[in-house]
Amino acid sequence: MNKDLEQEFTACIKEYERVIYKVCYLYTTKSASLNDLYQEAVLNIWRAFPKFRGECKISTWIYRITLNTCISFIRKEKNIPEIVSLTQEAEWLTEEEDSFREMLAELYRLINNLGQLDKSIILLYLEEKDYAEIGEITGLTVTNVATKLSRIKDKMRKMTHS
Amino acid sequence: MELDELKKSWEALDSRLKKSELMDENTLGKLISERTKQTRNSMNKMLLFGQVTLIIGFFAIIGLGYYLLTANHSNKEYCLWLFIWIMLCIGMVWDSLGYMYLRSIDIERMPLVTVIKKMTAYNRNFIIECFVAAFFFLSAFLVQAICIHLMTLNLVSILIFSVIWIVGCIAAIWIIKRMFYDRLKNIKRNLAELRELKQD
Repeated sequence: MNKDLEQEFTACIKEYERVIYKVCYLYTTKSASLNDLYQEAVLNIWRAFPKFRGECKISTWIYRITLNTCISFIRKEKNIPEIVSLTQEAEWLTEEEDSFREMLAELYRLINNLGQLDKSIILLYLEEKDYAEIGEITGLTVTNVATKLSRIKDKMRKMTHS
Repeated sequence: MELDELKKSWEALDSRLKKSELMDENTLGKLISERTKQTRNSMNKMLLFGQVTLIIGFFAIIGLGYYLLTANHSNKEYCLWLFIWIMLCIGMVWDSLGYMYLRSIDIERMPLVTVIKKMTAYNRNFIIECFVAAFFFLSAFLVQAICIHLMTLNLVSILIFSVIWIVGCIAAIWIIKRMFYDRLKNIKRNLAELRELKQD
C-alpha cells in the first residue's frame, strides 16, 4: 500500500472510528473483547480499502465490513495477528458516573437479547440510517426492514416489561 | 426501555466517544505495519503448516490402509482399525471443507443476511463436529474396555477406570456448557430470524 493510500485510509478511520467502535461495543462477548473486535474490523477495512470502488457510500461499506467482521469473528484461523493495545480502550467507561454506565448496560442487555440480524437492524436504526441504507447493508428489502423494525420494537417492549 | 430511550443512550454514548481519541495515528500505523509483517510471515507459516498437516494425514491414511490390507488381524482388531481409518478420512475431508467454507465468506461484499446464514450453518456444523468427536472418543473408551476385559479385572482397576470415565464426562459437560451454550442459544435465535424472513 502506498503512502497516499495509507494517509487516505488513516483519515477514513479517523472519521469513522466512533462508528466502528460502537458496532464492536455491541458485539463484545466473553470470548470476543472490544479490543479484538475493533482491531479485527480496522484490519479488515484496511485489507479491503484498495479494492473499494465507490459503488456504495463509504459509510455503508464500513458498516457492512464492521458488522460482518463482528458476526463472523472466530478464532479458528491460525494467523490471528498480535493485538496491539489501544490508546484509550474503553477507559472512559470505567471512569464515568454510575447512571451512565447503568444506562449503557441496559442498552447492551436489551440489544444483546436479540438475534444477529435484529441486532444489526436496531443498531443501524439507532445510527439514524434510512430504510434503504439498512436494506443495502443487510441485504433486505425496504419492506422487510420496516416489518422487522416494527417486530423488534414489540420484542423490546416485551423484554422491558418482563 | 422504549426505542426513544435507547436512542438517547446511543446518542449519549456517541457524545462521550467524541471526547476521547480511540486510536491515535501512531497506534494505527503500528497496527498496519505489524499486520503487514505478520501477514508475510504467517502466509509462509500457514502454507507450511497446511502442507505438513496434509502430508501427515495423507501418510497416516496410506500407512494405516497398507497395515489394514497386509497385517494379520483378528476380526475384532480389523474392525477397530478400519473404523479408525474411515474416521481419519472423514475427519480430513470434513476439516478441509470447513476451512474452505470459512474462507468463502466474503465479508467485504456479502450482505449481512448471507453472512449470518453462513455463520449459523458453520457454528451448527462445528457443534455437530464436537458431538461426533465426543462420540468417537466414547466408542474408543468402550472398545478399550472390551479389549482389556474390564469386568474380569479386580475392583481397584474397575474403580480407576470408572473414575476416569466420570471425570471425563464431567469435563465434557462443563466444556459443552461453557463453550456451546451461548453458541446454541445464538444459533436458535438466528434460525428463528431466518425463518421469519422466509415467511415475510
